[in-house]
Amino acid sequence: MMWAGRTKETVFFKRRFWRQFKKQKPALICLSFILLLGIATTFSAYLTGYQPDVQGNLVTERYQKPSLQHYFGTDKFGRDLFSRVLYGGRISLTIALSVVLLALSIGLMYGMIAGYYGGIVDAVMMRFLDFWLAFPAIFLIMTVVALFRPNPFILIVLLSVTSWMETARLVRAEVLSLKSREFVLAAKGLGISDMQVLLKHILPNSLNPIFVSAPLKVGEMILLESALSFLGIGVQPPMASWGSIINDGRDVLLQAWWVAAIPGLFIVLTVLSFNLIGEGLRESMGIRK
Amino acid sequence: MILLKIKHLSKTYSEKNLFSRSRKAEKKVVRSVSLDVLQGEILALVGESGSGKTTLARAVLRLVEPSSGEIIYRGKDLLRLNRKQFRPYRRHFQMIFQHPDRAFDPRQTVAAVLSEAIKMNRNLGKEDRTVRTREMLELVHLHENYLTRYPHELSGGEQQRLLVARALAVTPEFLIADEPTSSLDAVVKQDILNLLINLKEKLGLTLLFISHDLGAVHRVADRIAVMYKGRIIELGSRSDIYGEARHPYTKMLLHSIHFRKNKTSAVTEEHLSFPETDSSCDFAPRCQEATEYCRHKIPLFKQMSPGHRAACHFFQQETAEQPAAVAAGM
Repeated sequence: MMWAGRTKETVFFKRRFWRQFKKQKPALICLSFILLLGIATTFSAYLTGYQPDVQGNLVTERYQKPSLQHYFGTDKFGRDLFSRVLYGGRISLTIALSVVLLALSIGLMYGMIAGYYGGIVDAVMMRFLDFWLAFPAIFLIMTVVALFRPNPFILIVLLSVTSWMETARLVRAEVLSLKSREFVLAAKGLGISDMQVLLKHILPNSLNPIFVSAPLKVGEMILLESALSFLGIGVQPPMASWGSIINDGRDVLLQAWWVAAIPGLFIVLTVLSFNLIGEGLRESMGIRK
Repeated sequence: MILLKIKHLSKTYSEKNLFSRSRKAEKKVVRSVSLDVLQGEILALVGESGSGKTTLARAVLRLVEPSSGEIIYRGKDLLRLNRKQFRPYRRHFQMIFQHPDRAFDPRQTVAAVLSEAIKMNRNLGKEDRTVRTREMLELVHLHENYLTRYPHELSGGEQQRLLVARALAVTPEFLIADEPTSSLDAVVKQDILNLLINLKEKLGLTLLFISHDLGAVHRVADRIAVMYKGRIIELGSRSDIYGEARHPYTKMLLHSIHFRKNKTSAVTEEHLSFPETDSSCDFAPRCQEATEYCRHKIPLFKQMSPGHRAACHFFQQETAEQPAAVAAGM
């Protein structure tokens, strides 16, 4: 009975995938970096004795250089930057990951419905998608931010509803090509219901390109969220995010370079890592560009 | 006894978009095909690539939705059922696909492939299904070890066997084998043909055997239908077709077994692109004996002898004209 279940086959699939993925050295290094970063930002309270939002002595503790006491120095309020970068990273990463999760889910459902039902449904859905693509997202975000005080939750929703289209297209194309494949016809021919065919045969086989695009999207979202926070329309002070910390250091680039440079370095490394992980996934799944 | 009565079945593909449906881009792939499938026979459907054999087969199973026509099964017109009503009937008709390497979900093991089909019999318990999975493998002479493998790890012949096993797992009455041997080498081909014949006897199946391999057809078929440009142009028993073929196209096909390169009948691009018409014999542009008459009138599907029909003007002039005939059974 061991063989009859679905678990064993998925295990096998995973094993084959891992064998390939293990060969992707850059991706592995990047994955470890991201994991480390994830752990560090999650357990930042144990890594630093400082509170990110607590101001230091404004006379003695402003703009201190990185030292053993303050690993990344301090900012204009005498706040410890190491703790701010860690807590800010938590916010940045959480927002980016949530957005990607939400956007991929929306895109997956949307693309699957459009691709599977085809015809008029597809045509209407795709025109709506085109409209949404042409919609200037940044204005939508600015308007909403002007109306409400932005919090991470609103940001997540806003970024998600403006970034699911690419995934929807990807999934639609995949479903469209899968649904005329012989194994899908064969499944229908056996008398399996449309829903079952969609969930059991089409969906699992259309996921690979999404897995590949997911890390790239996370990187994209980190950049976008940072940009918004830098512009002051993202995460609001005193809450820290990498973008808002860079904003804090904007005026003192020459005097206290570390305030902007360190979170900037983290953004670059994190985005680069996510991109390389995506590349590694693509390679190990054998998907061409 | 007639198992399946196909009446004037047509499939037309048309270019559609949101705003218009253009008439010009219509492609008639299956054109008013009428055919009776007799219980327990092996009916062969032959014809060159692009003649509409596969589409006809898929239309019969409603894997592509026919444009018009009737398919009568147990006194019921299957085409009048909606998709949901038709689903329970699916397991009575199964198809072995042309490309065994494309017919399996790449994520399923052999065991998953078979158990999915077996699950269609809802009355079987889990234990029974396991037993049945093994039985199906045995039926097509595959070893139990294969259960944990993936179809793409099997050879072409083994994949073909697995396809047969999957199709039979839902206990069909009627099996369509779409070029089951075209991707196989000579030895494996014989194996598969033997397997099909044996299984047909053992399980009392009715078989529609689609092929352009007239050698294989001669081995297995009881009756043969010849298809050209979406129409059936000759139908008869094996001896009718191989002994007394009437239609020039059938003769040409038979001829090509012996002479691979026949100058006069070679298919050219021009021939294939010649549009199907409703005002002349479709074969006229390729027919050496074609006359002016052939180019201006559609031949009727006339009875030559009991059970043997052909659509050619040369064998019709002496008899009085009759309405477009329906291929009758024996």
